Amino acid sequence: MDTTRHLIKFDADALTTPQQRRGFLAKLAVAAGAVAVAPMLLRGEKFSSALLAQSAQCTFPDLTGWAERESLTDVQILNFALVLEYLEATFYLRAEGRGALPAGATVAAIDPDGMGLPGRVPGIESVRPPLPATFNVMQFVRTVRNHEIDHVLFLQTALGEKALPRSLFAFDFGDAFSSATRFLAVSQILEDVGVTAYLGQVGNIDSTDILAAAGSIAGVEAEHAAAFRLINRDKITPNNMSFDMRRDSTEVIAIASGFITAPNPVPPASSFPS
Amino acid sequence: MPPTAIVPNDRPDTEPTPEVSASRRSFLSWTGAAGAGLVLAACAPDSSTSLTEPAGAAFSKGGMHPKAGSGLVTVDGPSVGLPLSSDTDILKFALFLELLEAEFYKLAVASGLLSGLVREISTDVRDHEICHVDFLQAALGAQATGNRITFDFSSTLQNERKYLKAAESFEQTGVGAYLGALPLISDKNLRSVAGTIFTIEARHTAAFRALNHRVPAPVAYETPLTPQQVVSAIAPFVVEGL
Repeated sequence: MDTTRHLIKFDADALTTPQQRRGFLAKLAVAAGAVAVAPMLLRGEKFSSALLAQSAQCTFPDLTGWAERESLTDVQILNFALVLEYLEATFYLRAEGRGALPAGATVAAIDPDGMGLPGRVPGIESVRPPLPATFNVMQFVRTVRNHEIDHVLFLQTALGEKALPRSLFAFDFGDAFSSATRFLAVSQILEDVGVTAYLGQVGNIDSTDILAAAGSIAGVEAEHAAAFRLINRDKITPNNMSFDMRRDSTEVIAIASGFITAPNPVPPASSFPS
Repeated sequence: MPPTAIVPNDRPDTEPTPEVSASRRSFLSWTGAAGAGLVLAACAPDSSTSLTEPAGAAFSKGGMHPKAGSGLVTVDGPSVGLPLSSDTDILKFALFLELLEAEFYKLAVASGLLSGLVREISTDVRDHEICHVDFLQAALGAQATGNRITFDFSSTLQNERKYLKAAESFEQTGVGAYLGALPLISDKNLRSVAGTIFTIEARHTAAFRALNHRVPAPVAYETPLTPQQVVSAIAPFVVEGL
C-alpha cells in the first residue's frame, strides 16, 4: 500500500521520538519572516523601496510560470493540502476544545499526538473585533476549527487509502496558546500561508473537479485570513496587495516545518502517495 | 497605514480632457457633473486604447460629491455574451465584474456616506478592484473596450447600511463567479492568475460580512456560480451594456 511505503520514506523512527521542544519564537520568526520578507523580495524585483509606497499595490501577478510549475500528481497535491489542513485543524483544536466537533471527527483522530491540549487560549473570550464588526472572536475560532476539520475529513474521503495518515505527523506550536495576542498572530500567518499554498497549486492541478474543490477550500482560507487580519487590526490583504501570492509546495513545507516535529525533515510533496 | 495617495499609475490624475459625446453630455448635466466628469485617459501606458473615465473618478478628486442617490456611472468596457466559449470570453466577463465593483467603490468612497473603518476598508477594496481592472485591461488589450456600460448604484448609495449590504453581495458574487470560472479556463497560467484575484474577493467578502455584523466566514466551502447566475445577480445594477 502506498502509505506503508511512505511510512518508510518518512523515517518511521522519527514518529516515535518525543517531540523536540524547539523555541516557539524561533519558529515564529521563521514563519513570520518568510511571510513578511517574501513579498518584499517579490516586489523588490520590480520596484525600488522608494517606489513601494506608491506603486506596490498594483503589482501584477506573473502571467506565466505557474502552469505545470511542479511535477505533482493531483493525488500528491491533495495530500499536500491534507498535511496543511492537519496542521491547521490541530492548531485550532489545541486552541479551542469547547463546543461540538463536526460529525465524524474526534479529538483523538484529529490530534493523536497532542489530544487537543491545552484546549483554550487565555483571554480569547474578551477579544473584540474592531467596530462596526461585532462577531464573537472565540466562537469564530471554533468555527474556523470546524472548517479545518471539515477540510481534513473531505480530503481524507477524497483520497481514500492514498491519504497520508494523521498518525505520521506530530505538531508543536510552542507557546502560540499562551496569550490571545500570540495565538491570533500565528492564526493569521497560518491562514495567509494556506492561501498561498492552494494558489500555488492551481496551475498544477489536472482534474477540473479537483480544481473546483480546492478552490472552494482556498476561498474559505482567504476568508479566515481576512477575519484574523481584521481582528489583529491589520490590512485585510497581505501588505494591502491586490493579488494574493502563490507559493511552491517546497516553500510552503519549509514554512510549515517550523511547526512540524515529525516527520523531520518533512519530505517533499513529490514523495507523497500518488 | 497605507497612504491614501495610493492611486494606480494609470488613474487620471492628469488634466482631464473634456471629450464628451452628446448623449454623455446630457447624462453629465443631469448629474451636475458636466465638465468635471469625463476624462479620456490612456488606460495602460503601453496601450493606445483609451478609456472613458466615469464621473465618479473625477468626483473623488475635485471635491464634488454626487448627491446621495445619483449612482449612475458610464464606462467603456468589454462586450460580454453567454455562453463563455473561450478564455478571452471569461477574462472579458471578469473585467465586466471588476469594472462594476471598481466603479461602485469609487462612487461610494467619494460619496461622503462612509466613515471610520468602513471608509478605510472600502478605500482599500476600491484600490484592489481598480488594480484588477487595470490588470485585466492590460491582459485583454483592445478586447477590453468598445462597449458602453452604464451602472446604476443609486439604490445602494442611500446610506452606509445599504452600501455595506450591496458591497457584501457584490463580493460574494465575485467569489462565486471566479470559483465557477476557474475550471472553465483552459490555460493553466490564466487559471493560476485568476486564483490570485479570487482569494482577494474572498477576503473582501469576509470583511464586509464582519462590517455587516455577521460572522466573517460562516461556511467551510465557497459556492461557485454559473455565468448565468452571475448575470442575474448584477443585472439590476446594469442599465446598459450587459
